[in-house]
Amino acid sequence: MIDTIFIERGVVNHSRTQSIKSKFKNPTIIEVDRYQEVFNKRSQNFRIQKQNPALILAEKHDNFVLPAPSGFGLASTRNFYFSHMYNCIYDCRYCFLQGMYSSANYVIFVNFEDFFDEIEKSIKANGGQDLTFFSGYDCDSLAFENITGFAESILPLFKSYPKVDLEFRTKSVQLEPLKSGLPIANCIVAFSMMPEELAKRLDKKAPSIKRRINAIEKLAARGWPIGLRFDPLIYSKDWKQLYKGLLMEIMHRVPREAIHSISHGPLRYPKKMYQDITKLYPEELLFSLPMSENNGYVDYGVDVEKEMAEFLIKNLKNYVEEAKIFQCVVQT
Amino acid sequence: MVSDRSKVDVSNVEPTVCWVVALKSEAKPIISHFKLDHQSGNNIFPIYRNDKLGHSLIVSGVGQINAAAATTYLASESGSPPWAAWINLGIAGSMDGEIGKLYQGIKVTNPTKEKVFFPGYRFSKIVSLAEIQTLDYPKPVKKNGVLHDMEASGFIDFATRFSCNELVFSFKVVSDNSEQDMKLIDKMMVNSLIGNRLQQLDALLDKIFTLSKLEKQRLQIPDEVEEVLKQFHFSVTRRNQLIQKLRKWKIQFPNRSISDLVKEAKTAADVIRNIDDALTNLKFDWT
Ligand code: SF4
Repeated sequence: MIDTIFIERGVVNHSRTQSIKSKFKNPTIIEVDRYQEVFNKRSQNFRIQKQNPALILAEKHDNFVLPAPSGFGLASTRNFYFSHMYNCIYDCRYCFLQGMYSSANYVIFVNFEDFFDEIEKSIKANGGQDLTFFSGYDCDSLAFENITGFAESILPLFKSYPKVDLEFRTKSVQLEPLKSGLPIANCIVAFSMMPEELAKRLDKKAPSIKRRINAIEKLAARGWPIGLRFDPLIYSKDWKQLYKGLLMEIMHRVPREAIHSISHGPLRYPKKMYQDITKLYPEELLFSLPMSENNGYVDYGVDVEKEMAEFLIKNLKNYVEEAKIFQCVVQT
Repeated sequence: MVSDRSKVDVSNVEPTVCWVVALKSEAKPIISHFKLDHQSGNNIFPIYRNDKLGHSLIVSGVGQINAAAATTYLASESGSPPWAAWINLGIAGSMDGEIGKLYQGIKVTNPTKEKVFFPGYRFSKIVSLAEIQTLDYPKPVKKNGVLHDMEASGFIDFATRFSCNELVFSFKVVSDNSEQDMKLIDKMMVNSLIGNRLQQLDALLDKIFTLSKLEKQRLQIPDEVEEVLKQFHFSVTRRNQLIQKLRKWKIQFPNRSISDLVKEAKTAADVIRNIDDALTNLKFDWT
């Protein structure tokens, strides 16, 4: 899977570096001074690199916790995010990471404890309640868990702050450590969802919707609070039918009491990011469909966005109370 | 047995692989394997080509400055497209590497170590990966897993200006190590060190061609654009718009002819408007 690991000299002997290294069979190890040497190199080709990404193990020095971009997260709380990893093992065609980074290599910051210290500081500085921390803004929170063990390491911290929420956002059906651990009421496992027909085309390398729903069912049965993220909402000729089918399936399989929150957001990119992504995949159907520029963003336009949002809310009303439904329109 | 590359049908006259090789003795096996012809003329650096197979090769001479200059020269002489693969092939010193073994350099530093490169899509299933330190003069290697050469960093620094980093490769065959002194290296030995790796190089080239083709598909301007450009006057901005929009149009209407969009048009703006109309009225059909 991973044939090469670049390791910052400063973390070569870090115990987590050793443990991550041991998960791979005979990787080529190359030492580097700083991860940016590899990650930010000019003239990299994200698309080609994505076929065989390398792993980079590094130390994070600052900006451990950042305010979530406006529109990201749940409206009733103050939102922060942190990224112990950059990039993702999946290859969703709409993913904004492919327009944000020039490299498809995976970076893992091994100094988790520094993240935890800074998260604790932020919790204390913000009064210890009505806060949500998001993991998985620059990666999928759980997809690489069997390699990093990040979720397992961070859960005890949030267990001791029951009034502060932690969200793992994921498409992974890799359920450990959640499946075998006791549920924590303020730790939400939020799954990104879209109709199977669209996911087949767009969520490349990610588990199917069927498998995601199976995973949700299992975690809900264990008592973990579940988030559903319909973000981005993808338009199609028969979108109403497709989304209705998806919602019916979820409602049928996932008990409403398990739902912590539902959020939805339109497909939307800053103009430059849209241009970069479409240059990477000029043959991609998603980007050949009509989208227009509005206030520096490329999207489906207000009318379509509104219609889709209203449809979703209307169809979810009988499932969960409206206060649990949020709209996310990220302004990056 | 080594395959005969000259029998491969590559119906593409553009050079898709550009070789930069320091010594004639390193180049010889490649020249004969790919049936490259010497390009006559007053070349500053000797150039060999086989347009049918899409190969160009330049003999740069020793050292990173020569390698950089030859790379630039070959780019301009061959008119290499941005999807061309660039390969620096040669011999290198090692401490622990087996004599005759081929490596792909995936980290390359220049002599002052101020510059560091991470070139090439990695082909770890075909070739071992290594770090290369480019030096100004030959020096025995003191570290396991590291190779010493004299060209790679100069080559990569410039080749990555003509193609993307993932299509720039440095392949090195170990010529000396802690047990076999570099003084034993002669032309015959170099020739056979490279010649013995042709089969492995063929396997690498198969993969490299695939990547290069993928990149060509991504970057190539659709043929229809040229057709339309001939008929109307387009400003630079409109030309770029045309390229982008026609790509989308082709995805949506792979079987339709561009003449549908052009026949009623009187100006470049009309053409763009026609494409916009066709795209705007689309139904988002994913099936
Ligand atoms: S799962 Fe999320 S982070 Fe990963 S590729 Fe898909 S959209 Fe991007």
